[in-house]
Amino acid sequence: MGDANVPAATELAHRYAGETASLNTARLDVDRWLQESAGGQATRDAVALVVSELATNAVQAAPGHDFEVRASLGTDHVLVGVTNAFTGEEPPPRSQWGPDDVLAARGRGLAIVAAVADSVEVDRDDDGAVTVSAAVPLK
Amino acid sequence: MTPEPSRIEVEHRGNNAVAVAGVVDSHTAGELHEHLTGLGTDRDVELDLHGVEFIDSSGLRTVVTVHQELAAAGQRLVLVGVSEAVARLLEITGLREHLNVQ
Repeated sequence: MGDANVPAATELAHRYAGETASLNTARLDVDRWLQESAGGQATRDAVALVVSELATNAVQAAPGHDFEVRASLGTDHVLVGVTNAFTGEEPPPRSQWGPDDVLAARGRGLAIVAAVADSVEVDRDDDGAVTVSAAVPLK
Repeated sequence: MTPEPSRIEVEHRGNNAVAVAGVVDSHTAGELHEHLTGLGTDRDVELDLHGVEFIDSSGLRTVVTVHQELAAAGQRLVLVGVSEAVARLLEITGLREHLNVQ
């Protein structure tokens, strides 16, 4: 459960069923952990948005397959990562994050994550599972 | 881990106004969309958001979609009682000035 160099008390990792009913549970789990760990309301609000957007993407990419949410605490940020099941598809390139025009219906999720996070990274492991991680500043 | 799915409460006020409270995400956005489209597009619709505790891009998508549907019919979706959570997301996405916010 997590990187060996991160103390256990500052880390959270949970798996959830790949359905939209899991989204609120994931947000609440991370928020409770964050409330006990660190961070003011602005950080909690930003992290809730990040969890929501990344978990929604995971459920939409691989409906019915579990996704995993991990969070760890750095000195000045919260690192939130969501891993979906293998789908064979990459998330869109960064240049395509954000809607085609401001009033388009779709395509805001990753742009919202990028707006509230200091950095966003996309990784694929050997099994093909995609993890999107975002570092949210502690405020 | 007990699942705690998101929920919304929707209250209709007359034939052209709806108040929504709770968590508007991809689990609940479809329900809100049904309530709003059920009002039709032959008049302005008012959406009271003061009870929205959390909203993400999926919830916002419903708002934008209904805004566009009404605009195409020459009507307006008017957002009132914008809660802190809604205001924050409108700021982040730059949508505040493109929607009818009172």
